[in-house]
Amino acid sequence: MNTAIKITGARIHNLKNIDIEIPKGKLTVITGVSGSGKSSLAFDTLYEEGKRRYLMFSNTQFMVDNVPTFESISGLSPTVAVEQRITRQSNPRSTVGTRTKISSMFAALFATYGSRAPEYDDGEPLSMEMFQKNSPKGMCVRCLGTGKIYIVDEDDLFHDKTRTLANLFGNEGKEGKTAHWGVRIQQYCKHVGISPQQTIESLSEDEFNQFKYGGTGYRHMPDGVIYWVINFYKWSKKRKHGYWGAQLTCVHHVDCPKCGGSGLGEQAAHTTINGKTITYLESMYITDLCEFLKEDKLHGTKLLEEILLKLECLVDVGLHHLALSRPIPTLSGGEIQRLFLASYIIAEMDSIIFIFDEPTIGLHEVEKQKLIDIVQNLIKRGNTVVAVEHDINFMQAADYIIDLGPRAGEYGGERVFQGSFQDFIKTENSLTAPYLSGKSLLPVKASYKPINKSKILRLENCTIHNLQNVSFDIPLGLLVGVAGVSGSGKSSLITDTLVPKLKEVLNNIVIDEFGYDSEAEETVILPEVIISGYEHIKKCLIIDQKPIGRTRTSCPATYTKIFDKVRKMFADSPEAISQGFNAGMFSVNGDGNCPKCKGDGVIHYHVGFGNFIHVDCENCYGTGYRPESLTVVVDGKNIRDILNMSISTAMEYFKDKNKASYRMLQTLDRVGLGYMSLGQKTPTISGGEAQRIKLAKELGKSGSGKDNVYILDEPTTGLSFSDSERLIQLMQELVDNGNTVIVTEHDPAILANCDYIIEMGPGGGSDGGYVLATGTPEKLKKNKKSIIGRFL
Amino acid sequence: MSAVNHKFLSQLDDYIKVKRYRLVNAVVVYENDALVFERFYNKFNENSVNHLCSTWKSILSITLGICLDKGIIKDINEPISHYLPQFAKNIETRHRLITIRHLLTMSSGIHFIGGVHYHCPMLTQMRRSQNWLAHIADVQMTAMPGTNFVYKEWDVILLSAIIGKACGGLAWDIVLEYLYKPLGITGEKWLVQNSGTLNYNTDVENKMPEDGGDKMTAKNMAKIGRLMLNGGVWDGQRVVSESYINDSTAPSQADRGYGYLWWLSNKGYHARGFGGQEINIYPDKNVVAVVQATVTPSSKFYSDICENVIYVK
Repeated sequence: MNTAIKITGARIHNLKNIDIEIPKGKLTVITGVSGSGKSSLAFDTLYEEGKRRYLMFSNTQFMVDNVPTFESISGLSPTVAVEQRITRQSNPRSTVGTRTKISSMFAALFATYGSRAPEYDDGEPLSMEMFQKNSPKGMCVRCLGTGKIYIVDEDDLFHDKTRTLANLFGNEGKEGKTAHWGVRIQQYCKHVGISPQQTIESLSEDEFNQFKYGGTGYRHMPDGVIYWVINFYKWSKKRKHGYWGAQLTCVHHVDCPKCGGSGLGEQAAHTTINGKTITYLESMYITDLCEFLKEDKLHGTKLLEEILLKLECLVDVGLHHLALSRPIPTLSGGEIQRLFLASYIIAEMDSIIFIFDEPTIGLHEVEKQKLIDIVQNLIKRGNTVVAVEHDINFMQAADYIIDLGPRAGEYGGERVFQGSFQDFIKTENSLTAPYLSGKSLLPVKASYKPINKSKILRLENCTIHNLQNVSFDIPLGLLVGVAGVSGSGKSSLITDTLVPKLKEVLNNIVIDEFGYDSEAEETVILPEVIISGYEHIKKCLIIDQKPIGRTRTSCPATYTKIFDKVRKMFADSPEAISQGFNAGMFSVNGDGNCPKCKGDGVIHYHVGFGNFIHVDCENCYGTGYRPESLTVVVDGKNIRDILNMSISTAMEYFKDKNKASYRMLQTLDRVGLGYMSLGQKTPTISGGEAQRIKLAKELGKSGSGKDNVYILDEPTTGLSFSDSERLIQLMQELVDNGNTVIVTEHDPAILANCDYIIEMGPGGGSDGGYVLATGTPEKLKKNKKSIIGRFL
Repeated sequence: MSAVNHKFLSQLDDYIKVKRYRLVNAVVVYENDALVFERFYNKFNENSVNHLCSTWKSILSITLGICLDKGIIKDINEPISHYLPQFAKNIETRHRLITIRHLLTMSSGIHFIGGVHYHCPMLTQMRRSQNWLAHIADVQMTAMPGTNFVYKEWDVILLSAIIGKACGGLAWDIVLEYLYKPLGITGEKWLVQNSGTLNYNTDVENKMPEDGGDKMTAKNMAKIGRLMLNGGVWDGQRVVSESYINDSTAPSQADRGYGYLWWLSNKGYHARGFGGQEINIYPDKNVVAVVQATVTPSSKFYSDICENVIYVK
């Protein structure tokens, strides 16, 4: 057996024909600045080839590669990878429980051992499906398993019976926003023979009922205004924020009255284990659930043992703070990755090559050690682990380090170093090594911005999730850090309390870039939470890690609106004018798309068994554009060349052409994305990168002004030391301009640069939910209660 | 000249063998109200009974026509909430818009999942609920009544309950007295379900009880078709009005291929049931053709047999 995996001549993306050796049965860390080629090596070369060979050998699939991306690879065994960027896209209905299959095991447990309420015991055996809300046999029929339904509060909608039909939603149905209703009601009244100027109280009972519930045959409101309102509300919610339909107070998305929000049918609601229903167990924190099940009298049955084994694995990888019912799309990239890690540990395989993408993301310093132990256990068992990582502790634990770089994009892609950690820290030309050896240090703030006592945002009575009736202050105009172990309540405090509350009081000026599913983005009303001091805030911007844009063809250029200007520039060129091409000819979503692949650039051939092979479209050579579109050239570049440019190259190109684009590109470069190409597609952009693109978009706007609140969730994800340093500068810049930056973070380096820290804890799940300590990093260091203090 | 392809029928045994239709039990053809062909397989004879499966739905449609004729139910456009209090509770505001006609045309708008081979997983849950009608009233409405055709069990269960409610008994009482007796059909009593409140013959997941009430001989099934073909008259006696027969075999608003619990095609109209039960009526040719087959978990269709029976030059 080979003792090492040998890659020669790797040249995908920016890799510069490099040779790499990775020892088998060891922990190898690949490091380097963002864009240096880490992922290209680990995922696009090593993993893709490992997967390809395994699938070809097992005859399950065949693949065709167009261009060889390496010279040779030897010493491969089956390869498993967990990429953050891929697992981010998943079914909105899938949960921690369904993903790990623990939910199915629970369903079996309840069907076999559950005790049934006598009045629902029909003498026939229970089946597993009755405990699964995705099965038509088990789902609640009222909400079809979603646990929620839309209702209209008629008393609210018709609270003023002296209103006319036309004026039902205000503004007489004429002006601006409600004009749509004005047209609707005009047509409706004509159809049924009443006047839009009639008041609601003047309608006869029949007329009113018809108006409410339909049956008039009027085509656009067949089932009455009640359904119309619900549909209009849902429609509005999916569109731009602030659409009037989205603000209707009479529509409520409430827990289903039949199942009480569990999404399950009657049998599941009346079957219990130790007095608790499956819904209750799935809503418990995994740690608490473990404890609960250990006390159960079923202890000892094979099924329960299996469940406990899986749950304990989840605890070991630091997911103790999750519940089985937690939807996968709400997990952070790090949590998803550890979820997969847990399933590999359970499988107890050896001789596998595992490839991880920053496994320590989202972990508190104390949790990282646990993770390192788990990874080392995988190695002891005979596996090989390759991790793309920036974390210093993880690197110290590694047997072997590969450093790529020295910098990003075309200035990277070379092998700077391979060898042991001890040798690595002595390397001269690495951007990472100096931070490890202590030669360079991340800056640590010496003076903190003083708190302006008249500008304080205060929240009281926060109780959502595990928060223990917490009240806290956020001093405005400062760089505020929120720290704490996983599940201690950081997200509950910021994402689930502060953000919805600000949305409520600031109305339309909270800017939250919506992800895919608006269902998970329901407006939450928290009447018990008291907020004060928000009058000092002009605008609140949430900069999260959700993908940019809604379609697969979204890219940094389209998201930052640079592409609009580029298209216009092409359409205005003499060549385009003479051929009659408009801006749409330069978009793959418009007239410019290749008719064969519809702008994808790739054709998917079904090869049976649900497998596809993807081949570059031969009509457009993978560009996605019509050949005509590509004939138009501005300054020697066609539209595709522009999209292939890296952001730093594009800066030069646009310098004298378009001021606004140049400024935006400059900002993208400043947040450390200079290596990224303008046309990089959304699915290949990591969460951390997406977050920085969003940040850049905000920073690049002229007149970003002051008095804004920026909320960032773990922004150091995917950042190397030198990139983190830049990010700290950027955040500081925002604060210096008079804005507030609130950042939830584990990285002590970032926290040390905050002016004020709120630490949550002490533990995760039911052990957390308290504010442990607040104050400057200096103050926290001295505070005995603080856990993070000693790492600062 | 006969409209029936006798040459094909004379080779039917071979045809069935070649096609491996081992589960077909009976093929019976009537032309101009006279028996022109009968053939039985798998130890069946003219007295053997076979499950009706969903052809039962078409018989229920005739039963409803009889109720309208007799004034037991006043209007086909009556809201079902008049008969079923569960649908008058405003659980869904659309409930008040559902009419009897919507049930007949499978367009009540109540959500239904047919499942693989029409195994109806949602029925499993309903069957174990304490009150079927209350359970169906709880099911989410996913379409405006009358607009969306979805073949489903809810609508016939509700229809059967309504007929029972209207006549102060069970749908079986009407069908026995006014349909089976005049036609001389000896069918077993329909299954009584939901604590004795309604008749419903197709059992969950189409697992029929051996002594189930929906069994009939092939010739009795043909009688249903012949009654339809004769415009509702049997032996000189009016059983159901001709206008109802015409209405129930005309395309419905929600689906042009479906009438009142009858499937429509360009050749005629059809009662069809799980596992290959068929009553095919071809008005242009004055032909009724019946197929019966043993039910298997994966539903099978033998519609090509009867299509070949109709003479095509």
